[in-house]
Amino acid sequence: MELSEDDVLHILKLIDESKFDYFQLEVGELKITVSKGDPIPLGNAAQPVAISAAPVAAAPKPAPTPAAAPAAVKPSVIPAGHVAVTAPILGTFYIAPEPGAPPFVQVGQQITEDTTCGLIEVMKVFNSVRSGVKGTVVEVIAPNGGFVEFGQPLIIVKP
Amino acid sequence: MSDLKTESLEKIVRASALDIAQVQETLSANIFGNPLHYFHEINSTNTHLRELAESGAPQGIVVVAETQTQGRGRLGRRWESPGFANLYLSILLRPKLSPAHAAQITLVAAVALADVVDTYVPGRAAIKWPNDILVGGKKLAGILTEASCDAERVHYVILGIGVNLNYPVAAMPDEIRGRATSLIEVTGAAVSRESFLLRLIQGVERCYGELEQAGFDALAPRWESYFAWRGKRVRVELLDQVTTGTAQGIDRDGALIVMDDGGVAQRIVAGDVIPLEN
Repeated sequence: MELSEDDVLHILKLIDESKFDYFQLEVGELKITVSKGDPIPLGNAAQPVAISAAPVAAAPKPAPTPAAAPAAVKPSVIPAGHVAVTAPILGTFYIAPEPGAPPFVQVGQQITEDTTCGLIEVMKVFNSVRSGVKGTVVEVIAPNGGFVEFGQPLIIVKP
Repeated sequence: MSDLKTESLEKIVRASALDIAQVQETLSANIFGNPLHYFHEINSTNTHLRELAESGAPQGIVVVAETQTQGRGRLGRRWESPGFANLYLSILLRPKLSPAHAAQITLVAAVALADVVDTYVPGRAAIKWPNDILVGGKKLAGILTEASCDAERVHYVILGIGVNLNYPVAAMPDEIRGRATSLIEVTGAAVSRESFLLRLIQGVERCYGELEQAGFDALAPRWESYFAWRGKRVRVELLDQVTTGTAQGIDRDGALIVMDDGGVAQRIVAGDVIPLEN
């Protein structure tokens, strides 16, 4: 059985309308993983980062960061045989070192394990994200300047 | 240039330059600043130190420059770096902290920097979340922290620090003059740059050691004691979302807590935070 693009879009629509937060489907070599907000447990991603949700004195129930809402989720379809470079921490993702500068990586580019594929800013600390994989960039998923959660796919690489 | 003019210029430079041998000797028993690389001119101390870090340089190595041709702040914003007046330095760290907690280092560096500034202007140093140093509501020093990490560990952290010392406000470019200051401006006297540099490097080493030994909980109250915005109205901007409320302080991770206008505590880790009152 093969899934067409329309099939995938239809599945995503159903998930979006459902009460489920997380969904994974494997059909043959095709693997679809969808999360509505929590980190997507892809591949060898580590445990969720503990930016503490400890209550603050003034408010027993800390609300999510203002960033949480826009973090909403671009569904991630990782084709079989491909690898997602995921966010090692949460924060604001930048595809270039500064506004107007060339991006760290582009679609079609050959990269190595040590290639920097973006920056994630959290509390004014700029973290270079190493790809950790050698291959060809197939897609840059995370939006430049958008908020990413820990474990969220940033780029797709074909090793 | 004639020999006479060259000789005069060299005399002026020698007279104005940091007595780096004195600094190096005093730091010889420390981990931070040992070694200390010194340049009259460099593109950016952070950029140079990142190259050293990628080559395996050890924790504690410091790069100091009299001037930077490409001094930069957040998102490539230019950091004014006039020669022989201020301090521009970068310190390499290889922390044992998890990537999720690496951002605490920048708050800890702010405490060390505020401690030194406060000795010159007692009771007047303040921290703008997370790490700018203010005196009289104007920026006196900034920290640009750059790190390299993966999901499992932090490879290195570079603390880039710029401090306005003997840089009169009248000499600053128009675009920063209204919101920046310097120690000579607020004290009325020139500051020994060697003394400030020594105290800063030793202070960062001490505070960083406390963070590694005892965790951020031990340092958070000191950060809070310098917090400039407690109880003040602020606006938080991230993408197209804007939140206004009252700044409360930081949580155990260093995130800013803002009580929004709906009475809900918001935990801020990213975005621009703008004060709405002095």
